[in-house]
Amino acid sequence: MKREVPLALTFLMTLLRFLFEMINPLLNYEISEGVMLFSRISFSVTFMYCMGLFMGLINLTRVHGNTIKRRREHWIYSVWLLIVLYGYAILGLFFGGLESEAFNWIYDAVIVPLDSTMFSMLAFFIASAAYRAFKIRNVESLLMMVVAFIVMLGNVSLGNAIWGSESWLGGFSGIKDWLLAIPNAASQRAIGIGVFLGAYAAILRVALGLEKRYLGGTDW
Amino acid sequence: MLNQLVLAADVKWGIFVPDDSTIAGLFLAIGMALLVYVMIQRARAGLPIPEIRRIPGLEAFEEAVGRATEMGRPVHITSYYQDVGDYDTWAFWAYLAHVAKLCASYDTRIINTNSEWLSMTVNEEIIRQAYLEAGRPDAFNPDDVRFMSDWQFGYTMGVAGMIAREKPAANFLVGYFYAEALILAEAGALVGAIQVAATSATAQLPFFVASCDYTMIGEEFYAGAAALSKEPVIYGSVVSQDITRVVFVILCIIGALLNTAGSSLLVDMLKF
Repeated sequence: MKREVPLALTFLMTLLRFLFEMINPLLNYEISEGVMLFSRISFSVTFMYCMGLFMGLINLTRVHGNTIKRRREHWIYSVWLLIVLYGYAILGLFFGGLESEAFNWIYDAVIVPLDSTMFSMLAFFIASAAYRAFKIRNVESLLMMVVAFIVMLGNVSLGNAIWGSESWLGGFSGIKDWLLAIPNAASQRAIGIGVFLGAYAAILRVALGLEKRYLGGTDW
Repeated sequence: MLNQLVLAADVKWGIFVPDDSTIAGLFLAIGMALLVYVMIQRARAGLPIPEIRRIPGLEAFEEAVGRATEMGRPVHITSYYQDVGDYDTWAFWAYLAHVAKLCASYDTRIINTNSEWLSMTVNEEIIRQAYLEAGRPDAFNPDDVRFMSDWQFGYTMGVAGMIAREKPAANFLVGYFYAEALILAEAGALVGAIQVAATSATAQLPFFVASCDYTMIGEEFYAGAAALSKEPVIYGSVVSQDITRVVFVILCIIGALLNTAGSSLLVDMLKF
């Protein structure tokens, strides 16, 4: 029963979701005035997420609490993490929430700049990854290097100055547009079709109970 | 009680949602489900089913865990987008179970980082079970299954920092990723980890190809999840996936020829 009930529930919910996508009267079924069945079922997911939030909180407290208790390396950062975690939660829950100036200031002055900083680091990582990827080791990497060179030149004004868009083949910009619109789009769509079919097969495996790893364990 | 407005709407074949490709999608779903059923039945009866091609990235998992064992360093596995109801998460669990089983049998430490609270509990259970099955329940450390943040760059900072501190010898980036993909892969490359990526996120594929030793592209990610089982019954679903893909290629060619000849018959059928 420990396995059969979740498997049956998975099959039923997958079937129900499929029917909601397909059957119009079911999708628009109202259980009472203005309350759709679909939105009510979807709400159960929100409820589960709220429960999950507490699990995350417990896990973080346990992991970092152990680090502090055993004085592991960098334990002081765990203290700081717990202060920020609970401090910000208490500030939001008991001191005005979204209306609180302090709550919003912390978000705007700390979280947003940190987010932007981390995102901007991508530029440096792209440079280091490109350095490795563009090393010419075989025919494929040579091809990739040449194509990347053309696309980069097609995107900057220097490329336009060397070979303008008014000239033969539309210059670097024209070739870049062709590369992106034809070979790139074709391969992207081919991968897209593969992803769709793979995802559908994966859903079927779970719905039919062939794949049971989400129940825990390593057996199929 | 049915909504009167809906009854008046222009539904397809009386009951179906009036969106593009509803009926075509229905036929595709039924067709592929039948194909999966047939292949599974053939596999169960011991009848031959077509072979699926070898995926080099899959073999790299064992190689990478072996290397980590030799070096005495941990193995790290993560997926950013981990919605419990998402098929990418289901595929991720197959890889997690495989890696956890390898780590448990080699007595190698496994670290799993998470951005989702619900999935984290499933991940913890999968890893715990792997250690139990390997006869080493004491070796399982629940502190190594870590929740980072559900905020994208908070998670990224946490994982990149963990990689820099713990220096895993193998870094597995499996699942759906967004802009954090390159940061995680580069963090792994900086500590010299052998890296295997598997994703269906086409926008992140170039970054993984540039930074990782092995990359499983698109449907390889899902097929690999099934192929790990080594069970003919599961293989059946991958074979049906391949057959449907061949049908799609044929349809693409016929559609291109028909469109060139000025007929939109196939496009209209698929859009119905």
